[in-house]
Amino acid sequence: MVKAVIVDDEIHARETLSLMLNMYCPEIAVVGKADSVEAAYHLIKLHQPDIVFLDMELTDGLGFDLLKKFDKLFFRVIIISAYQEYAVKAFKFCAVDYLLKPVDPDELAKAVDEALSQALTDNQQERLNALIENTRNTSRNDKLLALKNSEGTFIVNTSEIIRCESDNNTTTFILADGNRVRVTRTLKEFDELLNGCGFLRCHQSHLVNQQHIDKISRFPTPLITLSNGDIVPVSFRKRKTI
Amino acid sequence: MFISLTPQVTLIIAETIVFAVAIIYLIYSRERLKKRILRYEEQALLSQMNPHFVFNSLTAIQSYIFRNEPHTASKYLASFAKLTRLILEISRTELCSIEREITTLKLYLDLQKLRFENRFEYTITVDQNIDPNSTFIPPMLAQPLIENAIEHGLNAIDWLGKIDIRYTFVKPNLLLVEVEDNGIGIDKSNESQTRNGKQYKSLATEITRERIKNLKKLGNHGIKLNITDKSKINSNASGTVAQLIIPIK
Repeated sequence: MVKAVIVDDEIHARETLSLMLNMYCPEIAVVGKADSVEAAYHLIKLHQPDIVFLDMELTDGLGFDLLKKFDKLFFRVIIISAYQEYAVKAFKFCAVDYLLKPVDPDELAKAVDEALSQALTDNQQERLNALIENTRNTSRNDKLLALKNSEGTFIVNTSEIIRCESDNNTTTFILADGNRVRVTRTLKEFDELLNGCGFLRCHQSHLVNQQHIDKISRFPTPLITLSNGDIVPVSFRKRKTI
Repeated sequence: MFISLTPQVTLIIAETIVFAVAIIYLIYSRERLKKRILRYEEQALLSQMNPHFVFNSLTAIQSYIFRNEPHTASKYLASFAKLTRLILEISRTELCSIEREITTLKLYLDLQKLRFENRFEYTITVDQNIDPNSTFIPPMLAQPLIENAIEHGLNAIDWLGKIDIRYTFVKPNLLLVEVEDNGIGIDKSNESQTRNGKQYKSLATEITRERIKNLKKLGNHGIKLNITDKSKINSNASGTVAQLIIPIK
């Protein structure tokens, strides 16, 4: 049996989720429900659940405050949120598992399956810490971005990214330390995600970090030279924006 | 005395007049455009239902579906639809009758009562000398204030919440709308939000203030909003009073 705790300040939300889990994820036993950081903390310590469903708004604080209380997260976290778009972007940025309210039953079943199949040794905690860090520093330009591929999840600071290059449906990140990380997601997705972090889509297949631009040459063809010596082309349409 | 004008002088005068008319016309059409933009802004602000309310209400409806209470679920869903429809309709008009305003507010309050499991009660009173059918006001100015009372004032209390909404004339043609609650009071609420690290600015109050600013620019100059913590008036009292003063044409 998989043990789960539901933490949400709205009684209807706790009720619904518990009933949905009953119906769609019979392997899960809901061992407790809480509406505040304090109550949830004690409940989790007492029951040692495998999964915690966590809302962001709690009666005495934020969902993050609960996570900060644990040195080591021994349970999977699935964030449940009624928040708007900006929060969803924050969750995607750090590749944390989340569901939106009202919860779609199919998405719930899928999220639970995925959470249970991932070993606890993956860096869930790092990703959640990155999310907390990003939320604390909303004004800062650099953020922590989680890059997920078959080898694992890498957390990189956006200021360490020199450029991204697309190849079909994959995106390769070229980092300041010389490492390359390949992710099976489109450049378009990252272009949207990194909007506001000082990146420039200079070409259909290229996204560059403006901090790392060394030189822009316009003649005979426009090219951007980056801090690591890489040279990327600028598409005709983007000529005016650089 | 008659002054004879040379053709040149006549021409200069004529040109000046044409020029002045053109400038006046330009200023006038600019002003008209500004007002139109303000009206659109006003409509946009008005039709903004708080996403928190929307999604939590929908979740509450979902809970009745899973609890196998189709009747309650349907009632709740129908109320939600009625409210959405009314807000959509109202947001296309600049003024609405107090009667209609109250119908909308009641729907909203009843939905919130369901969501908060009847942890509060409310009353709406209209002074005898007001005819709710023929008194027109800018719609839904009070709604965000009620939302604040519920979400921030009454949410964390362990006694029965009360919201009183009153419509009275302070002077002929000067309407006072009051939203009073017995919650923790705006000062304490702000304090605890900051302590919890929720840099949560009240979207509701911001919308109301923005709308009042717009309405003033559109010619409704006398409109005013005061929000007072009741403990400032009486140290034994707890709660918040929001007062809206609206001139009636």
